[in-house]
Amino acid sequence: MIYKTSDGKEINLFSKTVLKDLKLKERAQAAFEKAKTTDYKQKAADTVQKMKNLNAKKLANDFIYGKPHEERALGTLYVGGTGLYKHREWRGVKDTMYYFNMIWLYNYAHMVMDIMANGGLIPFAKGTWRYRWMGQTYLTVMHWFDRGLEGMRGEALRASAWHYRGMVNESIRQFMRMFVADKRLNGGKENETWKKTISHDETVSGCIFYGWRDRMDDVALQMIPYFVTCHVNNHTVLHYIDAIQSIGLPADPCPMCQAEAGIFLTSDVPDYSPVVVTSNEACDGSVATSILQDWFLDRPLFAMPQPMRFDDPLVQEHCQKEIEACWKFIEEQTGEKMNWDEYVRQAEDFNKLTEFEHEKWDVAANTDYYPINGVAQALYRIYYSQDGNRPIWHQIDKKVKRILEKCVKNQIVTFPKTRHRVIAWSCAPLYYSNWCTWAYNCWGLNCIINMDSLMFDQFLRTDTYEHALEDLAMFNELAPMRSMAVGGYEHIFRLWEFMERFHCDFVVMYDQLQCKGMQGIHGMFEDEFRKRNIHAIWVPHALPDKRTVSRREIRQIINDYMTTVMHEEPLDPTLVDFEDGDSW
Amino acid sequence: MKKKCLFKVLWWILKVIGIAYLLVFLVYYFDLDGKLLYHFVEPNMDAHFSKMERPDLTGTPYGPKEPVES
Repeated sequence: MIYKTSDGKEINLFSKTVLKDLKLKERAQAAFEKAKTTDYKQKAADTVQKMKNLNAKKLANDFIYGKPHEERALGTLYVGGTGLYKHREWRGVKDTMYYFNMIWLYNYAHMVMDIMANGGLIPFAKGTWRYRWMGQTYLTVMHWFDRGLEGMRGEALRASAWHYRGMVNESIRQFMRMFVADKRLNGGKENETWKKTISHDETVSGCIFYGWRDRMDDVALQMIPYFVTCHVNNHTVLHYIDAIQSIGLPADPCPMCQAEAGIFLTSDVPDYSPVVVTSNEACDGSVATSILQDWFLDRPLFAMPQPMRFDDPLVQEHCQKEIEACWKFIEEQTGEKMNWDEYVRQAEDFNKLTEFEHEKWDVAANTDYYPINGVAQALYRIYYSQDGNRPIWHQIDKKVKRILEKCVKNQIVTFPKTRHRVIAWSCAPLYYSNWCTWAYNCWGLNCIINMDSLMFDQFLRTDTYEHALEDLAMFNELAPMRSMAVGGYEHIFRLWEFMERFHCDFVVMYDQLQCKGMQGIHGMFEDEFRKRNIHAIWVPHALPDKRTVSRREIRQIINDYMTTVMHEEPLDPTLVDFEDGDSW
Repeated sequence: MKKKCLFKVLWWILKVIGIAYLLVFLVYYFDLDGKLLYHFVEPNMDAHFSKMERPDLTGTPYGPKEPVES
């Protein structure tokens, strides 16, 4: 049995040296020394003075409604280094009870229900014991909520938390499907679920497979073992990066591709499907990664790479033909025909999600009543757009719509401490997607919208087969990254257009240090920011790998800009600098 | 008499639920779930996965494949 101390040291509780390792003697000595040197009289006098100064009315007010933003001292709640809380935040009676009942308890309970509804405890337990990305990562999911929702109050807390709930439900559905179908967990048997599941690269759009969703299902290979884990618990992904580098993959390609290849190398991708549809992930490093994946998967594979320049009309016909060939491939390999009516039903349903997204953007762009925080907006949008139509997104949108309408109708200013309206551009640090929650709490930087949310902005026509194919091909071409970051400079420069549309006065410019595409355009952005007199903070990071640029370093860069360039004071000074290196 | 007994049982159930609710709230408020996961569950799961035997996939044969589409 291992015990991990708050400073990251691991101690075996059953070893002979446990007492020495725990340093109980030294701790007792230190406590004794402290007791000897403490002036208890003075301490008692200070306490009496403090009690005298207490304002009962203010105390009661803080208890009932929560402390004002500037007095919250959220930074003092952390256990140094770990990201754990000495105690969770008191948000006033109403919001604390909402968080406890409707977020913490509700999600723990619903996670169990989701697991039961998607295969039950046995495949869940087997998967948790077999796969590192499951057993080490997803058990810590409620801390993901905590980090993203820190300091949130009222409608912003509620609407943002519903987004998280949607992502948790869909993640459970996906990993349970993997576990139920997994040959490894089923004694090497190819069961019916295995035969009825299509695996695909996470950047191949889920919309491609709508025509089979009435009888089969499609699950992305890396979305759950890689992408979501980085947000929930970024400790896991480091094992996979190290594993792939250990067999000779250079350390300088995109760490996302490295990590994904590492998952395959360590045999941590469930064997849940007879076929695989892959892509180039619209990125340089991924081309090599796909080759490794093909090698390790060793099964019928259909490669459907996204073209470098999606706005070239000459590539459209080619991409449409590729989709048709992919459909033919699935039909031949699984013996199941594509159902056009099912495609139409799913695509039209998906359009409803896009329609509501436009409503959300309208409120975010033109009012102060938008109740979704930066991290919930970014993750939910990229998750459902890539995953495609699922019932849970409609359920969540229905709940969020009610909150959104209430905010607009009652003119509720959801982020009242906003000093700057921020647009976040390029690819975000996955290990610190909640930086925007911190930035609002500390500096009043309110991240209104981000690049990932603005991709996939397209309806899928279903009036004719030709229109459907045209739109589907384009939707798939607008894959994450390709759509803007590495799809040509005219697309990445749409930043200016969106700044204006969303009334933003500040840019947080992500600087993915190992993205060759974005590094190539760094200088042009510098020139444009100067020319346009735009406040922009470059935030360097290495996507999933927190070892390259730590969260603390990211905060320091923002702090430096806010003090030296903006000459502003922090709203909550306890959040300016703290150590959370070993946090999830 | 029966009514009194019923109220007693109901009151007892309410008390148990109340105490359980309070205990769960304490787990929530003092982040005891996080502390348990951080100090015990995660390091032990990590150790379990680190010593797990895994197939050497670099031994997977590779070579020209048959085309799936002519």
